[in-house]
Amino acid sequence: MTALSPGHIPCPGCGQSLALPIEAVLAGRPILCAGCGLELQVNRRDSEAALSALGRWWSETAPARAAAEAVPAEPAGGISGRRGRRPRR
Amino acid sequence: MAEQDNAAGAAAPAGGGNGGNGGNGNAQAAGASGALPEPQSGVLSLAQLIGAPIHALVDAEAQSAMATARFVRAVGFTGDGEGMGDLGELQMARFTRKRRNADGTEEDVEVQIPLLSMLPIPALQIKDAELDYTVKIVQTEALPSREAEVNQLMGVKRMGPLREAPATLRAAFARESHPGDRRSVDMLVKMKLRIEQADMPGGLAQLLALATESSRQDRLEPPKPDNGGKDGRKAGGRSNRGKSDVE
Repeated sequence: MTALSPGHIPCPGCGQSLALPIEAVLAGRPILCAGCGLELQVNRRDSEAALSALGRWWSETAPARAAAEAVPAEPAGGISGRRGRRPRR
Repeated sequence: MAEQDNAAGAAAPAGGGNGGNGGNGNAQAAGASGALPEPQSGVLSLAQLIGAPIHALVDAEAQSAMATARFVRAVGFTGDGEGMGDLGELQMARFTRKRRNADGTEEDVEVQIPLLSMLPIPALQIKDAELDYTVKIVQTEALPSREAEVNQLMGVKRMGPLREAPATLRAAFARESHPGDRRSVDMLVKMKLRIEQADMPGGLAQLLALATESSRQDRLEPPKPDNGGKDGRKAGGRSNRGKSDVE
């Protein structure tokens, strides 16, 4: 297996990138692979320590995520204004 | 220099005529002990003034790296997250999935995934920093304690015709000059930082690759009806990787 972007692993079934949403993992929702339909179900009993660490990180970063979502996206540079006026020469 | 405020009180004889007894006394004491004279409040050598923010930036980056390391330790491994003790094992999250065999039968498989593979690892670095300085040169002085050092390094011949030791500039932060302000102010201290998620360091990328390679799948033994609910772990426990139980 090769390392993918954070929160993604190679699907154990087909090898495609499989997203692991942390909210879904903490809530115990199944993780579905769009490629092969594989369904991963978290084993809460055997993953108690891992889920505890994950939940702790999730709750500690909640304010930062909320702040990031509240920041409006910066408008793209170039033509601005409602009518797309070009800057004067 | 026209401005002779309290900050310039410790002027050496070469620097200012109004240094006063305190300044001269300090200079003499410094010459005798070899130590630099006690700096006045807010007055530093220009090198220190310029170097201090740069030093602070380096310190900030070091703290950021340590924070990343602490995060990896605390979340990614089972050992004690504090200190430099044993890392322990990789913290693994366990999932189950159903696998269909070639003969059409289904079996339960446990998938172990390192927690490090699931989390975005925070690694921040200063991408860009602009340092603009506004300082007011308070005094210039030739520090007696440095003459011997300069003589040794440069040789007397290489000094100027007056054979003077290089001067040291001492300065203090100054207010930003406004249009119409007649005071001569050289620079403003402005620090503008742009911080971004750092590119993945090579070592960390290797760690993540190793963690991902640690993912494994183990076949789960079907629950045995005899055990009932006595020991759930044994009933639904996992077999050795790649091996099947033969009784």
